[in-house]
Amino acid sequence: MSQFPKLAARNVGRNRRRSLITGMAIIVCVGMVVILKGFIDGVRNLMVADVVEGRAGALQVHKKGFVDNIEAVPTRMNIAYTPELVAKMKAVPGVKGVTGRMMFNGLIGNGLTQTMFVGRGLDLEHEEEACPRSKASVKAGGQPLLPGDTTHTLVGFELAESFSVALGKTVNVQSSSPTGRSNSMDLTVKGFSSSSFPFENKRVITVPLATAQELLGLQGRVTEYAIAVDDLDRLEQIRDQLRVALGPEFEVHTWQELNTFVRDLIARQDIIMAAIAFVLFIIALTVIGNTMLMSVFERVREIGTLLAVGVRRIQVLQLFVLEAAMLGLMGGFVGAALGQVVLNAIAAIGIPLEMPGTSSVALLRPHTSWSYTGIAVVVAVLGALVASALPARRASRLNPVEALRNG
Amino acid sequence: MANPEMTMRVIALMTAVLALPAFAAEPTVDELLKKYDSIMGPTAYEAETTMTATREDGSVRSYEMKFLKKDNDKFRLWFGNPSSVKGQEMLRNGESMWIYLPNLKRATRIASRDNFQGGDFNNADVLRVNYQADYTGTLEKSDADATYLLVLKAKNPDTSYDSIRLYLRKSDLQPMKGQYFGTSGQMIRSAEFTDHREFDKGYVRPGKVVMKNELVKARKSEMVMKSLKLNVEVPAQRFTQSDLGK
Repeated sequence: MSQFPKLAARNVGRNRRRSLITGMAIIVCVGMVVILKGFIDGVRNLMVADVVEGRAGALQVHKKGFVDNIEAVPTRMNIAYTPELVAKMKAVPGVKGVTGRMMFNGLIGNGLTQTMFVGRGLDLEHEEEACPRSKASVKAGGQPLLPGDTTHTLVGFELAESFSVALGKTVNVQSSSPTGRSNSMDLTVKGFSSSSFPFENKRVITVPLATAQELLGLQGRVTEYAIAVDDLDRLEQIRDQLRVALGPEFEVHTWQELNTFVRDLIARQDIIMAAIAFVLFIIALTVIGNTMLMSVFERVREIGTLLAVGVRRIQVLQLFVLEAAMLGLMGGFVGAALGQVVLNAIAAIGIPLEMPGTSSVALLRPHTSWSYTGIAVVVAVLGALVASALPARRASRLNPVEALRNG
Repeated sequence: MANPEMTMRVIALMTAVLALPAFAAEPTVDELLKKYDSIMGPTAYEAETTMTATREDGSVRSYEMKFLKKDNDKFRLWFGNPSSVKGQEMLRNGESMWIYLPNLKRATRIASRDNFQGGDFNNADVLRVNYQADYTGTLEKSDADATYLLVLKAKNPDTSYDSIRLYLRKSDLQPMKGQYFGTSGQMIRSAEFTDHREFDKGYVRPGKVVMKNELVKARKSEMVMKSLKLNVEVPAQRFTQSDLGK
């Protein structure tokens, strides 16, 4: 038995053309899967970073019942914004940064006309702790908001366009307290915000937290806390610890739970990815199966000789399976390596990607984990084994006398 | 004269008597508020009005409606024309307000700050006229001729405006002008009251109120009172949610 691997290797080497075809099929399929996965993961990383680092934070804390609340007045569910609560959240292991926010809505006007907006009041001194990339979203020409800019605002660039509001001009924002007190104030446009979510460009304005609190008559209150974590893979665990730490008055949700749109988008991409990988897998399987079958037909005389000199049928079967496994292993490794090389080369440059519905450009850096590549190789080997099973069985069933005569 | 409270009262009375010739008919803030409420929101009445809303794009829409009011916190409202709102109803009972949409055959809660039929009145302006309960007033020197200037400040955070400046005609205390402010001090709305006339026996009120949107100058809404009858008898059942749509 010990010389069979050697024999299998020799057989693979001897039938160079046949091995090359099988090997190429595996290389192409594994390479494609790795590259495709890299792109899809790259897009996903962009989306996750956009949501987690740019807008929402990894986790959010609301007053109990906020998310299920279907009332259109989010400010009614406000909570206190205190250093004690922040400290309580920061004390949970894995929590990297905490900030408070006020989400509200109202009417924005330029004196001639008014339209609805969704407002974000941000604690600008702490916003970057929870959303490190929140500042990157201001379009060229404008300035990011600073903590002291209580009479300034950022306006979604499409909202600004529809209003023909220029930088440095004044807009009037009108809203009301949760109990119905009307209020309005004039704010100077300091910049235009741009997001990969069309809704945000068309509807959202950003103001300092203090401005939002004053407009709504909610001094010292926020509607949500946003939290950054040190490890996104431990997100659920940190969420559960926060729930315990904060008690029943509050609810904690992950960014997936709150941005179901993004979560579903990612889930859909994963399904498409799985489907493509499956199709490629079937193709590779067919090619391997076909080549092995050809090889059995071509090597009838050789098999007959083996059987005639006393090699057992099971050993013939093992020999063919072993050859397929070797091809699968080599093809898988080369394919995976090539895929990774291509991915890394593209990632080093980055692909400028225009986000749908906006003119903002993000740099796509395809990337995939080594574990996924490893799985691709293992699947290639297993696939080769499965594909070779039938031809190998056929070879082992040959009658040595007939095989020698016919071959 | 041993009782200090008595002394105070006597002094107050004497001051009042002495001051009388100088400010013959100077009403108190409470009297003015009470008068305003009795003019703009008599306890029980039935009225027919037309609201005309002018939007910033120049479009104009008119709505005809019928009002019913009882006590201070019970309102009922039926929309007539145009056909787009025909069959719609509104109800206020206590602190809750509903709108009934005939297409849905159900009532939806509304907030007092929501616009009334997309116009420049908000629901509270129409359904909640009780300044005595919601505001405290001070009398200030008026910058308009022959009027009192009543400056109202909200008593609680539930009112839709933080402060109101009301100009009341000195001769009969009829409202002439109103200015409505948000917490920031910015004027949000302004109203003009015109066409004062007698609707019921001895009951005079403005026949027309023009509410201007001060934040979008091209927007305004007019409320024209066609008829108003005081002290109508209405069964209490009219002001229940189950009566909506019937």
